[in-house]
Amino acid sequence: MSLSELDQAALGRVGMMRQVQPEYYVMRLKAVAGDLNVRQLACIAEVAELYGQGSVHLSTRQGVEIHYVHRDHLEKAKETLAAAGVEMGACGPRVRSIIACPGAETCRWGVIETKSLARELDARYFKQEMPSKFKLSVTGCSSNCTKANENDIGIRGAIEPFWEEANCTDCGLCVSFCPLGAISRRHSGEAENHGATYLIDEEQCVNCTVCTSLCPSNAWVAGRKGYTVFIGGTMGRNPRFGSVLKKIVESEEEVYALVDASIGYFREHGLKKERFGHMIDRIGLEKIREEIVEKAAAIHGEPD
Amino acid sequence: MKKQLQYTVNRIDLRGVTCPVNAVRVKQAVVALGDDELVEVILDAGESLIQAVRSINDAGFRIISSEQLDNAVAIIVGKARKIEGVG
Repeated sequence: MSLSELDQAALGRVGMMRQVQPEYYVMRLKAVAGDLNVRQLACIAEVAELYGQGSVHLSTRQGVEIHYVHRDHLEKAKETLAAAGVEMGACGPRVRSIIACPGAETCRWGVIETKSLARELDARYFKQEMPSKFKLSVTGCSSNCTKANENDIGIRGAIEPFWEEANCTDCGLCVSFCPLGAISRRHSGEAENHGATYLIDEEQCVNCTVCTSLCPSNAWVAGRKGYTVFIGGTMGRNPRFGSVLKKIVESEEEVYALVDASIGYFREHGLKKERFGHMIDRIGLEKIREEIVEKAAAIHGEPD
Repeated sequence: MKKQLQYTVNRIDLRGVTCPVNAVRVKQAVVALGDDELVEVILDAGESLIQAVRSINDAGFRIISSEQLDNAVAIIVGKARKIEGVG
């Protein structure tokens, strides 16, 4: 099929959106986890110069858009980009580009390898058809730089802090620096520095790494480490924060099972143009959470 | 939970001083300490405290004790990683 035969929806499927200006299009490019190499950047610059207006727009999903590309140049521009390994992004009711922060590879707060996870999610789910647009985000820790709970599915690095009594010097600093005020000190001994116990309120704890990173005597350590999975986040006209599907998932394979089960559930029960989170509100979070976790356990091959 | 210290304790109040200047001021103060001296640093609670503590740990200084104040925290910092009799 030649380009001229493609309708707007078909162009949207390959990441091209009609502009207000007749005959001109936006080319939305994919950059998984916001990563592009210099060869790709040079090619994008060349295409923007040749076929656009010599500038690019950086999108909120870590992608690059080339604006003002004439309809007659779309195919040639797409071929040129593809030759440098630059793929088109996605528009419409399908899985959009996966975003991620730099994660544990370079960030001292990072708990998980966000980029490899984002690339795997991209390979598994990108551009899959959905009832509505569907956004996934991976963020390395509770600082939440890539806003896991504002996406249809968000995956956030998480640790479960554990207090190693033998290492503790009772400096008390953790009580002050815990951003959520989740750590408390109980003093049961007769003298200072004897009998002090530090407790964490698991309900308040957001599984960040501040205590394990900052404790001067390494008394706070990561007891368990993994991923918090959020479902149903969305911004836009009717914003909704994502709900926790599972607070600590310890294996990457279980993350994929939960994503598979969530996507499967949305495909089965979501109404056309209804966002995942709004479907959750319509049907009920507890019911959905139970069914998704059960289905994921079956996929993953382990009882929850 | 302040401990009884056998050392001379200097004091700097860094409330209202933001990162990275607060961390630099702490480092300057600790580097200038004698062997029998410690410094009490008062920092704003929240992000300011987190960033300053990070710098203190990175520099290999020793945090001996802390005390919560109104919207601030007082911490006692020493130069050596190990100070006999405290921490």
